[in-house]
Amino acid sequence: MKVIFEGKEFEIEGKTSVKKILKKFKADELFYIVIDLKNKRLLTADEQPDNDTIIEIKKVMSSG
Amino acid sequence: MRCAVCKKKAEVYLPHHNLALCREDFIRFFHKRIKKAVDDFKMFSEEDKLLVAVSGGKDSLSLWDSLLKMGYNADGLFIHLGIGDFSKRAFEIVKEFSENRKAELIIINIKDEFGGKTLPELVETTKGVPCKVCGKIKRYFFDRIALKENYDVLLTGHNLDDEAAFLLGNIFNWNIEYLAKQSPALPEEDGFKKKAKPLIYLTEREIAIYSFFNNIKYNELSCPFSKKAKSHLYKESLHQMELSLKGLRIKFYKGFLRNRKLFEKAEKNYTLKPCKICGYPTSSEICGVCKIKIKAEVSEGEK
Repeated sequence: MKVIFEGKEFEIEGKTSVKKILKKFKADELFYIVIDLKNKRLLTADEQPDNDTIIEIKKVMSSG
Repeated sequence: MRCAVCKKKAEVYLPHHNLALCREDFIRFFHKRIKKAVDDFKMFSEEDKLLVAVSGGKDSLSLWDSLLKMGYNADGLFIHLGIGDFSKRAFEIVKEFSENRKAELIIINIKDEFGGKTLPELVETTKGVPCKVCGKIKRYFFDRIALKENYDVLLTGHNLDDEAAFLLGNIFNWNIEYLAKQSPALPEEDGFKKKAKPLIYLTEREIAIYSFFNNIKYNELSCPFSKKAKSHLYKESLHQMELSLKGLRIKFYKGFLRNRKLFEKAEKNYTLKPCKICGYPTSSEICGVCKIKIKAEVSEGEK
């Protein structure tokens, strides 16, 4: 699965939960949203995206 | 995870409400939170003519979108600050937003009001602190337009994170007068129209989710001046604390709302009178914006 985080692309092997992906990027669920770019929907932490999914971990804090 | 309302597959989980929701029920939840703030603080009614100060960011656009969908009579006001690509992008977004919704948008261009100068040029010529100059100018035009165009209430997109960060800053600096004035709604007085912040019960994350679900494009560029803003530092500090103390921001802010009366007795150490030049309410002879205009013209003359 492809993960876009802070403008960079990362490849993650095998099936894993959104919670574990967030942990890997040290991104807490409180301040990020996880977008399934192909299906244009948000993912909850317990979901396990398919291998062909492209997700974006987006910080929600405004920067001015 | 299933939606707590309809049991369909949930798309969001809101940790501090311990609530999972599908897209449709989240949007309903979001509008209900706005309505609760409006009712709790008697912000406005369905008959009122509302003016939303829009920056091109997700907060003000989500607020405007919500109010239109909830059936309120809400127009937008955008101040074009002339801060390079940041302002250019914000303007494009706000214009497109209003056109798509056939909503009325008032645009004020700083350059037209300050002899062709942009905000960065005003900051440079007046040697002012960027965020202070910007805040002063924006507040001035928000107030003036609301009054001139006869709006009942002026609305801003301040959210729970913003308000908690302001509160922390005001406590750190013991700005008792600011604490007394930090309110979700301020009445019409001293020549100012009523002001309100209907997003006070919503976090930045909830607003980001709402803007995603409603396909609201917003300006993701950072203001080049905002990097030094103390408010970001306070916000970041609260976020760091929230990681260990879940629900801290809400408890902190709601506790303040319950105890606000403690600060209301703080006496104003000034009286407002009309500015000698433009008539805007001010505590000195000349208002802050006219002072900026004078300084900018003097600096120009010195060159």
